[in-house]
Amino acid sequence: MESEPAASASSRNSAANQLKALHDAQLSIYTRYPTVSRWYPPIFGLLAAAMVVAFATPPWLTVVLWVVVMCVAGIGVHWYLDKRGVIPSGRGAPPAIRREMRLFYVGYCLSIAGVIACYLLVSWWAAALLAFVIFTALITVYEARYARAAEQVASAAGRVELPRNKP
Amino acid sequence: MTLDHLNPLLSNTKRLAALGVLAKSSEVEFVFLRQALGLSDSDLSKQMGALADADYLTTRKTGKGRNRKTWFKITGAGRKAIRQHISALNGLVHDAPNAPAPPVDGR
Repeated sequence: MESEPAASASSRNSAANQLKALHDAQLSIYTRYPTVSRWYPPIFGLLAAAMVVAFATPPWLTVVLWVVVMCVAGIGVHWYLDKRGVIPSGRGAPPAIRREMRLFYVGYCLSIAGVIACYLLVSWWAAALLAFVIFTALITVYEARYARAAEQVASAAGRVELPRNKP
Repeated sequence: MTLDHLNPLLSNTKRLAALGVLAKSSEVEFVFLRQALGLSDSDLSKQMGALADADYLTTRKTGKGRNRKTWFKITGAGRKAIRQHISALNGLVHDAPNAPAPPVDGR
């Protein structure tokens, strides 16, 4: 004898359908996003280079340049998130997307280490050039890999994502 | 797990999906939500109004004129409600002998 009233088959189906609808909606956080323009990665490459150049200037100018660069980067990120329309919390990202995010952070840390090493061992201008090239490449590769992962996630869930306008 | 454990407000799939997106985001803009859920402006407004009335979300407006945007953020009460509802749904589905469903958590 059951201690609770057994759920009917229809209520089970309804529950399963609700969970599926919820799961699909939550995937959209990661699969619906505006593709970035081609100028976006080089702009961030330039900002990274500017941060390196700032170190070669007098201390007061270093601080001023860093504040300016951080403000520009902040405005850029805010603008992108505003266009995207969603700020993912990072919790519950699909594994394929999470893998790309992790790879990006590893690449980001390695890039910083490489630029610092170049600054210390070669020169500030070589480090600035490296920062521009490496961060432009990093963001370009990340965008391409993220797009591929998002497409895989969307197609695995049976979703067809409509292309969104470039910001 | 019985139907009694389900939250009547979230038994509507549109409201559940909308709150589910909010639960996994810091903030969500109206147009994104409308496109992601495939709803009309008026339908989404109605569903979000019901969730706001239950204190499950807060609303923030930005910009002016054509650039005006409405952002939604889930509240602690909303997070608790969806967690309990999802738990009840998972319980219902897993009572069934052959009814696998994607495990969804509300955190």
